[in-house]
Amino acid sequence: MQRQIAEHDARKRLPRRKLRVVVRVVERRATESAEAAPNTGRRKILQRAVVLVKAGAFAHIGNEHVTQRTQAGVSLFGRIGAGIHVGHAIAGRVRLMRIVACVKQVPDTWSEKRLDPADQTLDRAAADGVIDELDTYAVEEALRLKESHEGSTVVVLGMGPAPAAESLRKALTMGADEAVHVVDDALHGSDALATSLVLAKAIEHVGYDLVVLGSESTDARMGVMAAMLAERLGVPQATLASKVEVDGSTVRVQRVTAAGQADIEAELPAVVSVLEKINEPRYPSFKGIMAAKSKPTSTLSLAELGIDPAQVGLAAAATTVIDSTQRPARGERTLVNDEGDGGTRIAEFLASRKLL
Amino acid sequence: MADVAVLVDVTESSVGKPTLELLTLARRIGSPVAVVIGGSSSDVVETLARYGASTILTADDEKLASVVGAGVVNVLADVVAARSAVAVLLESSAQGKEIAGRLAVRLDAGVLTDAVDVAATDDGVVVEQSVFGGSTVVHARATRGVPIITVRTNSVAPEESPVSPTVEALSGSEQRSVESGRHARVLSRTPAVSGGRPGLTEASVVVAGGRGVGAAEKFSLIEELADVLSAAVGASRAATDAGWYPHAAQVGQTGVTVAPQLYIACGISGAIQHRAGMQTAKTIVAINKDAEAPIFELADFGVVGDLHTVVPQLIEEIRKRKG
Repeated sequence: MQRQIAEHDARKRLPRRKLRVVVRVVERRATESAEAAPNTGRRKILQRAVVLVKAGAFAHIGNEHVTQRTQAGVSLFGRIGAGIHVGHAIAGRVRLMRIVACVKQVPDTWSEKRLDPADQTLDRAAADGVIDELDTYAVEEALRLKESHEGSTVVVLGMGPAPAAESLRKALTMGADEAVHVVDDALHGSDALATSLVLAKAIEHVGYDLVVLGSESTDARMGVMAAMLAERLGVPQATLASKVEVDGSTVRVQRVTAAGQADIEAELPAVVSVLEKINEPRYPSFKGIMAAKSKPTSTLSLAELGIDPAQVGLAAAATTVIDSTQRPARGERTLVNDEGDGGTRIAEFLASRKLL
Repeated sequence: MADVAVLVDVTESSVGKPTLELLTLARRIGSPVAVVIGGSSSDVVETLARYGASTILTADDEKLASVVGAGVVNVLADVVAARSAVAVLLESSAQGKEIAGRLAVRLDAGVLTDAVDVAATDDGVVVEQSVFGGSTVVHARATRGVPIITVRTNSVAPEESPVSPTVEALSGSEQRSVESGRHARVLSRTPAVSGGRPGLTEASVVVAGGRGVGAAEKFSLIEELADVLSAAVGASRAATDAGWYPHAAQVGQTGVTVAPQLYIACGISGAIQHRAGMQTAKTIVAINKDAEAPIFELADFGVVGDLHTVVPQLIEEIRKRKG
């Protein structure tokens, strides 16, 4: 965790400022507790804790080797039962996380989709683009984790042509703190391998403790991205989650597959994918929509990520579509009105097809 | 013939039907090498041999299965390298796809998901895929590395082709075993409860209920029809959103995709969301009150009527015919 924070600091991002806020809260709460302490002995211990935590936390911001002092202060708090929440935040038990939620812009789920006959890629102009519904569960889960880990940040990350910014904006209106859009003409036609390469580089660039994404996209439905990102980032894969909890530096996930359910856990940083219906994604409030306008949004090009354009795009894809055809309409169809014999007629049909 | 690596699924000490389908397809493009990770037994070996696995590689190190993803990927990457496999076949389940994805990154190789057929050509292995919920059929191949292919269940009927296999225990598992800390650990597992019915993706018959079912308790009618047909029960999103049936049974764009021999849609209008999950079923029967319901565009046999009278009659008739 210290390493992560140090890295964030190097990029002059939020955590340093957030830690300062936390330190101020510690100071205030500890001082209040000290003043309210019923006897002198206890008051003295609390005052000592204030000094330790303050010193430790400030040092923590700039230096990763002083956690012990912070923890000494925090454990004093813990013993006395004051300022526990804030203390835990600094001790790392309630973690300040940088959560990256990946979102993909896809053709509206309710629309017909087709391949562009020219290059066999998804014809994105043929249908309205929307934020992938399965990714809204990831954004919601990221926001919930942020809310239960005060001081955490949610960054939404997307890759795609210019209109994909609309999906990122949607996530900002839901409550994400900042948006990062990887956009580059060379990306057109990228396969899953190239996409995972770009996203992994972008995630490292942004800095992260936790990556959250939907278990698959509703257009390609490959269901490989979370696993690919874990492999590329070299971090644990805690995927197919129907429940996610972060406790200190550990993420616990209820993993659901056709084989059943498994309780799994991993150390942060990690990649989590969430299943549909893990939560109920919030609708953006009016306040959220207004606030989104002033939230930081940045774009990243391949050059900024240090990726050679020859590694991505249609020409670099490791798979190629030879041909595609619209599925022909089904053969002979029979439609009958139920005249009291509907069930019998179905049974006759099934028997004629040797399905009974 | 060239080796084709097949990842074996062993559930409750027996080989799953999806694996038998993979072996059947693998034989079309080469010589199947079955990779069994955990749970190998003489029964498992016997079944794999009966379906044509000329080589069976076993890795019974418990550590491999105790982490998510990486252990299996390590083994498969080794097998591909050691045997110069021309393809890797896995089941198109959520886990199968995850393993395929990691393996593709590890080997920098093309990954093709949801294949329904495979063929050997002069340009290497070509797969047929059904995309956009079955509305489009695509032929594709890998242009880099060994093709890593996940195959949708029920794509092919398993065919026996007995061989005398070579069985080897994979050695060097200590090199393949995984550092804890960098991987998610499995703390406990709870097997899925099937209620005696076949799994939704594996079932050869699926009976599904939608908005027209009307209430949670009315789903017992759908279940009853499913049981006389030894079918799995599915539901439309309207039904699962209403809380009438568990979300895990949702067939559609954002739920499960099924491709059974027979799909019976009861009280389902057939919005594109639903069709995307079932339109590759071989035979589709639909019952709906609304003659204009889009489900009838797909149905080989449709009845315009009330499912609450049609289904009981159908159940009765099936019972009669089955004696």
